[in-house]
Order: sequence, then C-alpha cells, then structure tokens
Amino acid sequence: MDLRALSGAVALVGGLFALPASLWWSTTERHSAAAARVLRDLATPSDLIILSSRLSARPDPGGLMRPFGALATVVVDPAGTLPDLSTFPQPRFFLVGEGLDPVALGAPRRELREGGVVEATAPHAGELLVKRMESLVVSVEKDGAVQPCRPPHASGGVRCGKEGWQYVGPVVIKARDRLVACLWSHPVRDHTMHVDIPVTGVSRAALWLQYADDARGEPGRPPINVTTAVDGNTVEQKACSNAGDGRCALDTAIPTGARTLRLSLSTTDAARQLNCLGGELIP
Amino acid sequence: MRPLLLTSSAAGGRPWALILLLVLLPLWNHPYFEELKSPNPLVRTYLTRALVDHHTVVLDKVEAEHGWVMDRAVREGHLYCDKAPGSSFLLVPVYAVMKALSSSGKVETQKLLAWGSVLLGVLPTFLALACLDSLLVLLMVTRAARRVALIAWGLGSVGVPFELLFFGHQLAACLVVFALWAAVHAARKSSFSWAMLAGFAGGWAAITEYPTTLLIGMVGLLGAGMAWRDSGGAPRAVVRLLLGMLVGSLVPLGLGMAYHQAAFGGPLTTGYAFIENPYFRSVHKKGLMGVSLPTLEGLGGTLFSPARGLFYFQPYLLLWPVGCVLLMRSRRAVEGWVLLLAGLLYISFAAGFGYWLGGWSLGPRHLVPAVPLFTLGFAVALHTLETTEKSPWPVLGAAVRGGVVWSVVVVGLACATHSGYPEELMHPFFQMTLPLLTAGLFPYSVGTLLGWKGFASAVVPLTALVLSALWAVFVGRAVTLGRASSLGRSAVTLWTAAALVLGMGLLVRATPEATHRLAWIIDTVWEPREGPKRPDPVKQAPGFSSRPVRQDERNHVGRHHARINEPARALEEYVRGVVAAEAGRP
Repeated sequence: MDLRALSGAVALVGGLFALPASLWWSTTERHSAAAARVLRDLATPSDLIILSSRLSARPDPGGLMRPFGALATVVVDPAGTLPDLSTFPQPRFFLVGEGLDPVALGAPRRELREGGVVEATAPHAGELLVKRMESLVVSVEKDGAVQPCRPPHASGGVRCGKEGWQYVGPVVIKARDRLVACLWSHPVRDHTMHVDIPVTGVSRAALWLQYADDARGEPGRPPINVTTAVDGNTVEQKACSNAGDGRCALDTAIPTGARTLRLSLSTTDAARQLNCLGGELIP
Repeated sequence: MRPLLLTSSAAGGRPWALILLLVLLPLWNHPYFEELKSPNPLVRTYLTRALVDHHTVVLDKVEAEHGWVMDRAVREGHLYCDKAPGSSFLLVPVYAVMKALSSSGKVETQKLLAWGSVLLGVLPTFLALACLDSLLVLLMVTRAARRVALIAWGLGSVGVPFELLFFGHQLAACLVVFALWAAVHAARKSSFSWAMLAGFAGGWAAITEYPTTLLIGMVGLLGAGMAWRDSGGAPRAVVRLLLGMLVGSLVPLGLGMAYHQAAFGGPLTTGYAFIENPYFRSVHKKGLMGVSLPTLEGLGGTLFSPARGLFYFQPYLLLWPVGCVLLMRSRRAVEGWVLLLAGLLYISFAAGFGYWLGGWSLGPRHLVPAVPLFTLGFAVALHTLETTEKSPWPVLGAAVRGGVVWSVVVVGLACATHSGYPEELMHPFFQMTLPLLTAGLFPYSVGTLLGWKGFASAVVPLTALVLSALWAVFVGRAVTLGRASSLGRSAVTLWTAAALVLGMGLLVRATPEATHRLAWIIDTVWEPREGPKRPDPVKQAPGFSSRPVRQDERNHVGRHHARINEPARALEEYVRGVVAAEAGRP
C-alpha cells in the first residue's frame, strides 16, 4: 500500500468517527456545565437562580436546554436593572455568571461555590409582606361604606375596582433603580384603602411604602396619607410623598397579644400614585 | 436531434433495496401529539370524515364529535376545511375501509393519521423515488449520482417530515413527479394515454396543494417542448400531449371544482377566501391569495435561514441551476430551461407568500413540491463533477456528497424524533432535535407498538439513517486499500459532513424562546409519555382554562413566559407562582 492510499485510509477512518463526534460535541455543555452540576445538587425549588446574561449558557444533554432543570431561573443583564434581593421571598439565591455581585443586589452574605456559582442568603430578619398576600384582608371605604376587595386577580392578589391598576397583589416594580418585589397598593379614587395584616406573634412590622421610579419625583402629585393602627388604635399618621427615593418607612412596634395591623391609604388625587407596600414582619 | 438515451440494462435496474431503505424511517415512525392538535392534517381528516360519515362537505358535525380545529373556513355560519381537498378525497377509501373493519364503527384520529401517512405519504414517495430514478436514467446520470440523488430526496429532503405527518406537501411533490414521469414518457412515445396519466396526476396535485398548478404548467411545457423536439417539430405531437394532459386532468379538477362550488359557492373559490383565523385571513387577503412579489426577508428565510432555509437543510441543491445550465449545453435545452424556470417560479411563490415561515415545519414546506425538480438539476451537476477527471472537480463532488450526508443526518434525526420545528426556534436542529435525541425521546412507532421503549424503539429508523448516509458516502466508490482516490474522496465526504455539523453547531445560541418551547413540548406535549404530564402553563393563565388555546396565542404567551430580556415580568411571574404554591393552589 502506498503512502497516498495509507493517508486516504487514515482520513477515511477519521471521517467515520468525525461525523458522530461532531454531533456529540454539538450536544455538549461547554460553558455552564460546572454551574449546572453544582446547582443540580444544591438548589431546591424554593431557591432562585439568577443567571447573568453574560453567561454563555448553552444547552446540555442532561438539562435538555434547561441547564438547571426545573429550578426557577431568571436571566438579568448586569448592566441593566438588577433585582433588590432583600425584597424577594426566596431564602437563597444562586448567582451565575459575570457581573453579578450579591452585595450590590442587596444580599450581603456570600459564599463561593465551585463552577462560578455564588450563593447568597437572603438577609431577612422576619417574613416578607409579599409572602403574606393570602392572609391579608383588603377593603376600600367611602363615606363609611366598606367594600371588601376580592380575588381573583391575575397577580394572585385581590381586585379593588374596575380599572386594571386597582388591586392589591404581588408585583415586581422598578424602584430606586432596582427590581423590587412588593404588594401593589395603588389607591382607589375617593376611597380609603385598608390593608389588614394579621400580626399574631409579630413584635415589629418593619414595612415601607415605595413609589415606582415611573412616578418618583413627578411634580404636583399629592402625598399618600398612611394611617397605621393596631387592633383599631391609631399609632401613626404619615404623609408619604414621591420625593427623594420614594420610600416611606412604616415601622411599627406591635404590642404582645395584638392581632391586626391596619394600614389605611388615602389621597386627594389617586392618579399616577404608582406604589407598593413591602417590608418584613419580625417575630 | 433526439438526445442520447441510456438503456434499462445499461442503467443497472431500479434500486429497490435502496428505495425500501429510504422509506423505512417514515414507515416505522408515526408521531402523534394529542396536545398539539396539529391543525393542518387534522382538518384534512375532518373533511374525509364529513364526506364518509355525513355525506357533506360541512364540518359542523365532525367538529362537534371530534373537537375544535384551528385551520378552518367559515361560510354562512358553517365550518369547512380551508385546505385544498385532494388528500382528503384520497383518504376517503382508507377511512371507509378502516371504519368498516372497526368493531365500534369508529376510527381514532391517531390511527387515521398513521394510515393516511403510510398510504398517502410513504407509499407515494416509494413509487415516486422509482419514477425519479427513471427520470435520472433518461437524463443520462450515472448510477452513483442517481443513488446519491435518491438518498438526497428520499431521506435528506425537507419533504420527508411531511410523509409522516399527513400534510399535503409531500403527496403533492410525489404527484408532480408522477406527472413529470408520465409527461416525459408521453413525449417520448407520443402517447395519448401517458399524457392522460400525466394530466391526472397533475390535476390531483393541483387540488392537493393549489400552488403546484405552477409546477404542473411547467410539466406541460416540458412535455410539449420535448414532444416538439423529439418529433422533429410536428405540431400534432404537441397537441396530442397537451390534449391528453387536459383530458386526464378533467376528473381531479372536476372533483375539486365541484367541492369548491358546494363548499364556497364557486368552482374557483377556495377555502382560503373564508379562512376564520384573523391572522391567516389577513395574510391571504394580501396580493393574489396571499402571494405578492418575493421579499428579501422571504427569500432569505425560505432559502438560507437555519430555521427554514432550503439550502440550509439541503445545501447541495445550490447546484440545481448549475445542473440546469449543463442540461442546456448538452442537447437538453428544454429540460434545462424548464427545470430552471420551474424552480425560480416556485421560489418566487414561496418567498412572496405572506406566511413564508409556514408554521411548525422542518424547512420551507411551501417549497416541498418543487424539491424533486431541484433534485434533478442537482443530480446532473453531481454527475458532471464526478465524471470530470480534471482536478478539483471530483474532490468538489465528494464534498457535495458531504452535503447530502449532512441532510440525511439532520432530516433523518429530526424525523426520528420530532420534525415539527416551532416558529421561535432559530436553529432548530441543534435547539430541539439533538436535545430530544440525547434524552432518548422518540415518538410513537412500530417499535412502541411492539412495546419497545426509548432508543430501542428507534433502532430500526436510526439504523436505516446510518446505512443511507454510508450508502451516500460509498456508492460508486470501490473502497479498497489500493484505491487512494476512492479512500480520499470518501474521507472528504465524511469530513465535509462533520465540518457542516461543527460549523452550524457553533452558530447556535440558546434563546429563551427555544428553552421555553422545548421545555413545554417535553413537559406537556410529548407522547408516548412515561412520567406524569405537567400542566400546560399557558392553559393555567387566566382566560385560557375554558377554551382551546390558539396557536398564535400560545406563541404570544410563550414568548412572555420566556425569561431572558424580560426579567421584571419573569420575576413577577415567579413571585406569583411562589405565593400561589404556598397557598396550596396549583
């Protein structure tokens, strides 16, 4: 056999392997495989995985295009609006890819895992209000007549009027240049909105009212008057305006044995009062 | 002067074993996904059921019995099939026999579609492959190039998925081949009966997929041109051929017109004039039945895009115009010009159609009926490359065969898993076929009927695929250790195919739409299913629970569910899901 024939035979045998090999290579995960392996062992459905859009995620055979399987994932652009993790209800977050700093996202504790995964534990001292929607009682009042707000609303909350924005329910809004998870609480025109929060076993309600960036600093808007009452006794009255960073602290000490904390929201002009309620109930 | 002809014995006989191998995969697999309610084949079966069960063309009762279908026409408050009726007519005897043999008198949709695809998809393709081989013999193409061309069309073409799915496109393609084959014989033999056969097949193609009328016109032109040339310019031969075709087409065209009259109030009024879906109605209202001048987007998408491009899935078809020019220069000007014009005309139609994307499809399904004609041009070009001894043409020919191997791998693997590529997938072979394959997800098949699962159920079609690919590599090449050129050319073929896979694979980017869509297909749609079915997230959305989800709505909501680029929306959905889960709601 001459050299040309030998070369041809070698090339042919190589070609017979090259085709299946190229197909196999095309199915392999080459970038986020390590992260996927770590997270499959580590994460649970109650965690939130945040992928940087700078992660070159590719499909892998085991993950079937979803490298992280059934786990909840979101992809964010580190140069865009980032989530404020302190407002999100998950106890743990896993950050994967470039440009995601848990401290910058509001989750101070960090722990490095292999595969470029950063684990962050949510800095919650108590339970987030956004997780308590099902136990809240919401109503609107006008001239002494009280009407309960009722489900269903697409957000999982309750509807307080005919307009699309007249509801109380979980939402993510852009506020203070971050994505903030909270309960939408747009006031209803000429009504006072009451949000009753069960507080049995709670010693402090570290809540806040937050204006969305869309409405923050908008001139000529009247404030939202928030009255805080514990078991019917008014403990604080506050005018929350859209000035500054648009956040209004509603920090209330809850006496032992108290059952309900009521936040009553009213304003002289409900238009463009894009806000939500958030914060924690601390035992 | 009459062109040279190859005798049957010199041609080497019909390659029945290869043809059988090529139809083994579509014969074996019968994908069916109840959740999808694939509207195109479903509405065709509805018309068949209406004709047999209720002796009417109105679908009202059938829809009440078998459920809502999206592709429908509504006229004066009644429902009709919006498709051309040819395939539904042909399904009538199949359904009648199945119904008669059924003890309950009922025929399940899955069974009807399976037998419809076997008898009106696989069987016509089997016969059309033989006809195509016969046409290639007449074009003096070498045995090896003919075999490669048969493999290219039989298992590597964008028409193969439609053998399995009871759409009309592959049936129409086969009817075009029958018409061409009969017209060529009619011209050569100056035979009225062969011309009638050509007309019959052509007429049936026209009422199966209306746009194939363009191709049948070209077949008539080819037959007339050949009759004129081969008879030495006798007008009588041309008249005989055209008259024969006209007479032969009377039966199918008459049936089609009668159907149009009964359903839509005029012999030339089609269901597309009464289409119900607002989006498709708007598409069909533009231009002539939805067809305008070709757009750059349509041309790019139909010919070159990884999602639908004909030359992506079958890159060697780029040689089709070369083959046409070669024919023009070899005393076959009529064949060359007609194949070129037919191809250009049909590409213009497909690229000018407002809905060139064609829904869930592998490749440009509107171009499927023209693919055999492209294949003829390609075969002539390959023949020339492989019979020219001067370098570098034979090596180029070997590389071209690599393109055929790529097609067989891509189309074959897609058909072995799921060949209905959703619209959101920009690079579907890599985004869908390979993940399904590596997960061992294969559709209903003869294998699953025998109780085999996973890869075991797909052993036969995958083996057929590998053998076909190897056949394309080695046919006509005496590969022995002493034949350096044959070894080298076979290696070039294989390495070209591998390079195509690698190169195309490098282009792939994960997209949220692809992720969402594949996850949905696996979780909710896939059959046969071993694990529990997960609820369709779209149907969980408010407003969708009480009625079927339309495809356009599904696509819309699907895009919203996709998580990249819409983090706010995605996070909101996630928070909502957490709250709902904690409240014990599904």
